[in-house]
Amino acid sequence: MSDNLLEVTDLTVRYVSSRSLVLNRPTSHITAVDKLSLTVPRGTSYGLVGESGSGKSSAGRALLRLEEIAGGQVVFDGQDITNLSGEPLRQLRRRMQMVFQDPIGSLNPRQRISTILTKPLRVQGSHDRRENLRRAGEALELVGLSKSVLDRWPHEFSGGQRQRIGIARAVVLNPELLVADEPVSALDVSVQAQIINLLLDIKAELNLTSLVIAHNLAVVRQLCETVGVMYLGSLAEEAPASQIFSTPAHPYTRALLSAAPIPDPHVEDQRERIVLEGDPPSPAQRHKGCKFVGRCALRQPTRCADEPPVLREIGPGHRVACHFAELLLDEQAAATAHLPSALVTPPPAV
Amino acid sequence: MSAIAQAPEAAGTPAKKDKPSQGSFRRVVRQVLRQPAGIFGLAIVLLVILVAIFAPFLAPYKLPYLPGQASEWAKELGLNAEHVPGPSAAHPLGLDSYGQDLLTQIIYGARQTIVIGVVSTGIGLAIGAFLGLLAGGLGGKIDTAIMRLMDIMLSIPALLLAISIVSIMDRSPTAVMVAIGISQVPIFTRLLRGSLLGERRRDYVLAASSLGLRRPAIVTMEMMPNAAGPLIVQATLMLATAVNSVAALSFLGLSTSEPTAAEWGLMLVKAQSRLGSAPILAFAPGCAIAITALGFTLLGEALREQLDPKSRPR
Amino acid sequence: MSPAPVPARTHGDLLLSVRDLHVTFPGHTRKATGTKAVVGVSFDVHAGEILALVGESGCGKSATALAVMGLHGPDVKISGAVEFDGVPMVGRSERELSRVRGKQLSMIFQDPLTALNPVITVEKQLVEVLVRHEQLDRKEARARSVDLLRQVGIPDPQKRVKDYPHQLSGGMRQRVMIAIAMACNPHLLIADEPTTALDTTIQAEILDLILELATERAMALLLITHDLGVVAQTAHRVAVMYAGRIVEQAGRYEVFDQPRHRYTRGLLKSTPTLVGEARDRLDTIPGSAFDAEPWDQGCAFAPRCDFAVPACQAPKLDLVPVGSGDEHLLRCVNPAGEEES
Repeated sequence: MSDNLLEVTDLTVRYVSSRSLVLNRPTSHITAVDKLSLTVPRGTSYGLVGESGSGKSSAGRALLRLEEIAGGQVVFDGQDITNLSGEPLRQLRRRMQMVFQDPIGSLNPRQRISTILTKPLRVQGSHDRRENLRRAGEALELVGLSKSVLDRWPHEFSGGQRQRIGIARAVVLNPELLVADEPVSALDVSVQAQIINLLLDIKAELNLTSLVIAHNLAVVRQLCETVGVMYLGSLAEEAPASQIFSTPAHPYTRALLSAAPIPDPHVEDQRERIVLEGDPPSPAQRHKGCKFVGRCALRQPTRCADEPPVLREIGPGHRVACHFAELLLDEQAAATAHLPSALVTPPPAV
Repeated sequence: MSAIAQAPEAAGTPAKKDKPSQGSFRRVVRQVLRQPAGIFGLAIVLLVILVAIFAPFLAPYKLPYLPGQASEWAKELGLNAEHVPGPSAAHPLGLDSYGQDLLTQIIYGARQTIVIGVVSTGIGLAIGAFLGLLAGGLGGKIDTAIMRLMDIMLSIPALLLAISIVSIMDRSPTAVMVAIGISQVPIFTRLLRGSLLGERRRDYVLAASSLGLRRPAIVTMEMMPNAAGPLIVQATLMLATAVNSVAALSFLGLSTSEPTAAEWGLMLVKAQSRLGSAPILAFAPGCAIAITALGFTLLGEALREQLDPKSRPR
Repeated sequence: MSPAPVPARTHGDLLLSVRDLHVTFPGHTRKATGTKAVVGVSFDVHAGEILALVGESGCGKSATALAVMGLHGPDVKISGAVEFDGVPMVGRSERELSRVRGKQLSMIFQDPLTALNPVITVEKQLVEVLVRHEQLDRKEARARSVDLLRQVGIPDPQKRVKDYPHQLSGGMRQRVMIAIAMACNPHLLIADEPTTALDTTIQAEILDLILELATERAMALLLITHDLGVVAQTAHRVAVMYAGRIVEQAGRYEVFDQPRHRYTRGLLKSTPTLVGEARDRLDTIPGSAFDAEPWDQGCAFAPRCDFAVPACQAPKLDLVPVGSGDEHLLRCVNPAGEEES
């Protein structure tokens, strides 16, 4: 039994971006996930944040083997699962489950809750109907719903309730790894908090290891111990949650943090935002140096454009892909000594 | 497992209590009957079906006649090609030039029409859905191959395609059914493939794969029930087209060589030469065709409201 | 970035006044009475002021905005008074409305891709507005279009003006929407979730842009949003809506520092944030607004409220001033105390 439940090395996912007219052959690709490496220790929670197009969802799906992997390696509990197929892959599915963003689309509208919740058990070879229903009922109670909803249909529930059912489906098999892709972003504020708490409770109760994919930094802060920030398919920075929000070492992380609105007018009055130049480049583009160079206020003339930064360790558990991370941290320490954490004023452009 | 999560949402009391459970046949029927078009459509279709089933009891005379019987009658009544008696008490719609009761033929004609319509649409639906399932479910080269074939079929006018198939097969009602069925295949294939592709993007499909369900099982068990709605709607609408196509093929003399067969399209052909003297000979089967087609169309449109979410405004 | 100080108010500055607005959507069947989306909403917007209407989905915030614009369909029942610049808007003909809309009163929407016409170039969409309201000829209008795009921060405006909406990124599309809305220097801009569909960094840019333009032109802004962070960043005054009614209305600092309504307080406490100590668990409001009760039998929030008392069943619950001034309005019989927060 390895200490790390999940080890991902150089994971690459490509999509076909155009096809030939008559024969439908792929003619060009975009790289959605570009050599992503991360490790999730057993019993911990890893938060993958990024904006749309950062490849965070593709990464989550690929490591569950729901997306074709173009390169790299995924090791689950010491076993290389990159090329697993057939029955062994099916066996593995029991141990890793997923919670989806869209609480409406993720439940089959033509199936009763009982069917939705017992299907995982049946697929995994348990055909005792009464036993399956009992376990489905248990899962429902675990997510705060009553057994009596088993014979109802998905459309009879609100978004929050549906998300609870989605979580029940994911935990009914007693998985070890739970991947939650934007689990609360489609929900209202008051319901969002309920689901966040539920995920925290379930994680503790079932001793789950989880990977949370989200664009909302505050949600990840609430749910995860480790946070990885993705930009255009690879990690820009990775650090314990306590560190990344107080001392971000990548200019992109800083920009992202400074842009996240904070529900406190006093904080907002003092903040200054780091404005990124331009739009994120398309993933189809090839980069010689740092992918962030076009939008970075701190870029250096030659090195950033020519030499791709590698993800390197700058502190315990703190990895960053920037040539000038130390410089940034020093200036930040000087500039923000008097400010509360996470209120980072940008140093003047170098 | 204990219920650790506080159950804030009132322990799962379903939110919308008034809505009946979805997915039941009864619900669809109830919804269809809420619309005037649905009521009319269903009424007409049921009427035509009932007439077809109970034709021997409803028709004032029996069909088929014994060979030669009709011409004997014609002689008795002093009929000839120029003179056809109009409606009378014994024959509410009058007689045709073979001396057959027109109403009886119309009533028996419903049988032919319904059978040919249903069977041909059934053929089209079965083949079309199968190909659509392969194309939309498997994708890749199979998809490309099937869709190119459908493009070719669609580029030939449906009637022309049907005529060529009938002429290859021999003129017979079976040939007509196969011909009409095959000409409908591309429509069903494209429709099902389209709605399967739409379903494929939804998360429940991903959820099913993450459970370890195999691809064929996901396509047939998970996606198909959600994608089938538009197919049912289209099939109902195609029944109307089929009724017209049957008539058209008969009119072109491709369905049967038996001149006295009770078939609406054929009746139109026979009426052609007497349009001036006895318009009712064309009017009655014409109306029968139009009303039946209208019934299926109205029913199809009403079903579409309920089953095809893409056409719903919400 | 914070909103500019509110200009000193005089009586003449009242720009938009909404009184007892009701919006009822038709029921699905003839028998059903229909859905009451807005149940007696009243508020004012003064010149140069930013008022945020906050609430969860289904609280009626968007229905209110559409009613102000007169953009609801004919089968939606609207009653109450909406006065813009002293002129009543409810009951006016489509012709009269369209003269005001896009000129003194503009709106931007959540999804710029669907709100922009996909088959018409950016230039044509801008020119159309300018020719109609500003009586410019086409040549002048085209020049102004490029100018407007530059003002909303679109790089290379001469080139971009020839683009179709789908050729632009999400952020750029929202900028184009803003340019169109700003074309005639409106007195009031209604922004319905203007940044919800955008990424975090883009959202920040767009909010900055809207604030900047509003300040520069002394334009009033009615901001519809569910995001309390966005509210804290932009609004002068905040009105919190629940189940079709305003439950609390106050100045920006007061709403966040001393929320008195239990719902406002619950919303604030259940929002995860990036500042302050990390909390183990979030405080939650039980239930969801999805099955909110109607207001006929007292407070609609009472079933979800931990502090509900029998008096909450009172049939008439008014929005009344609390505290010293008349700035802070509240619709609650058992509000949170000023000190407990």
